[in-house]
Amino acid sequence: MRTGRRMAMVGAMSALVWAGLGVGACGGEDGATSGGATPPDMEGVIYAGGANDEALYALLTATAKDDPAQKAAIDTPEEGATLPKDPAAAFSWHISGTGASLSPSLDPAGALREWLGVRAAHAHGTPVNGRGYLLVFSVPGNDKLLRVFTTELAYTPDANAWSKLASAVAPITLTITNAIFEDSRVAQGGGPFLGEGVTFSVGP
Amino acid sequence: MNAPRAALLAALVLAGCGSDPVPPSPPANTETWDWGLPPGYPKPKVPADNPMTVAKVELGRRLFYDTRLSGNGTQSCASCHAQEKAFTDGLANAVGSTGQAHPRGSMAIVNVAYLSSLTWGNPILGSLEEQALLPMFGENPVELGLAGKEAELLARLSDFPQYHDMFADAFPGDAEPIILDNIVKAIAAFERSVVSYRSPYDRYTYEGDPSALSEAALRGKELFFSERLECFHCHGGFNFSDSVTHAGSTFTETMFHNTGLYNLGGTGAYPEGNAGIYEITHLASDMGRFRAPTLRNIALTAPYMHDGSIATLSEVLDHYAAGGRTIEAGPHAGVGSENPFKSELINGFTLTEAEKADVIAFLEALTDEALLGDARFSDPWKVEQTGGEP
Repeated sequence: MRTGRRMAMVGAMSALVWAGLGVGACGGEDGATSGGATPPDMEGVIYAGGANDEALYALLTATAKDDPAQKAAIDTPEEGATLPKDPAAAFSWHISGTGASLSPSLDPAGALREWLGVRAAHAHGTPVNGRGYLLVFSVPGNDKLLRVFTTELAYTPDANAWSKLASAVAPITLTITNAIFEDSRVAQGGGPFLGEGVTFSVGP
Repeated sequence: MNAPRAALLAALVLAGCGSDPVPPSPPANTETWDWGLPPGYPKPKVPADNPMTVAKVELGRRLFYDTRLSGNGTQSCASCHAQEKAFTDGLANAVGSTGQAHPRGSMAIVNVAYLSSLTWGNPILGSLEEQALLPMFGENPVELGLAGKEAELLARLSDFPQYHDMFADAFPGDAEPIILDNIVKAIAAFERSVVSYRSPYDRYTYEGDPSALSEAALRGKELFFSERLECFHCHGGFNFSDSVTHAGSTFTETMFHNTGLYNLGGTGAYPEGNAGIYEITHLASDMGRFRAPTLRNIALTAPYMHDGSIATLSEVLDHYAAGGRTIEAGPHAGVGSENPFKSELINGFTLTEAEKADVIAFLEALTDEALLGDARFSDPWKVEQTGGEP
């Protein structure tokens, strides 16, 4: 079955990568990758939507660039916001160049679906086509408090993920790096694109 | 097409490639064609001997819509590939210029630039330039009906003064540019220009616009790309097809699938004359195997399947949910789900009515409304007749 062959191929590729051969899965515009023998740290990343670790590897090993039209602009939360501890907050964003954004709104059904759709790390399956977004929540002293890789334009943490954010003792900064993929590889001209961050707190 | 005819066509085409050296012409309209694609959207692969220029695409558009390209002057390419129907014709079986019905439905030309294999089932036909010859000169069935009228076609085009300038602009190095080779190159260039990339799905997925997809379409997207439905295995990737190539491709896959649409008498057979790539390879395992078409604009291209034998998207989903189609009686009776040559990916699934509506909402979100009204792809003759700019 094709899926089986595909997974075997991905497994073989991963083995090569982890062996430190520095084989980038990236087909990025400038073809540049961080290269080297050190594999990117993908531990603990939560995969959501149709994202998978093959695409994440491609994103992390490509050189990110700053393109104002292609960066992810965060709609919620706003800079400096204090979020209630309960319920878990929804995070949303759009690509700057589209000029589109969604006003903050609660979508319980969507949040539940998002929660159900979150998968454990190292998820294989459907190739990623289109944009993928790496959300990095950080606090001083911990630049990987929570990391989420998703193909969607919104994310609502599940209970475990939210507890990491809610228990942070310092303001949290969220940055989103995005890339455009073709079959889980960074497409030509597809970034990755750095995004600006927002800093927020979770209230008592 | 029979062998002598194929040889004649090949000779005609090759004749256009061996013209005597000519002095360099003054620069014509050689501006390179710009698809206007968003960042990260793959660019089509363009043959080295047929570069995309604005002048050539414009000539190709005019030829595509010109009824001079049928033997009896009644049809053009656009007769079976209408822009408002995403370049299909809404018929189960295409009808040629002489009234002869084609065993298969007209395929959309949208995104044909990305296909590694053309038509419904022909593993050896991968060039748009070659493919253009089939509807023009094919005799079984007759489509445009130009067989034996090659010289007449060239005379017709030469008699129209505007074509002299357009061919010269499109092929600036040719002393005698109105030749068959250039006709098919221009038509292929136009077809290669027709790319769909502005659907709601694209706005969400490529442009990062969260307002582009409805909640129903988002739910349908999740189902479409799930292992439960398996749709994406054959209709995946940016073009929603598994036979795709593009500029920069390192690996080209060409796939054909038997979806259990027929199983005549339990033998696995498909109706005679419409048996997929079996007709070319004569391998039993190729019975009923056809190429998975792109699903872009699929809501506009009914009826569905190679022979137009399924009327609606809802019924298409029923077919796949059942793991094949059962025809109770008649000459095509058989249980498609038991077809021994059926793809291993067609196993059936259950879908609630609400989920089905979501999947259809997602498929409808693949409709590119901008393409349907894009003046770059519209009928230039009609515009002229109504007093507008060509």
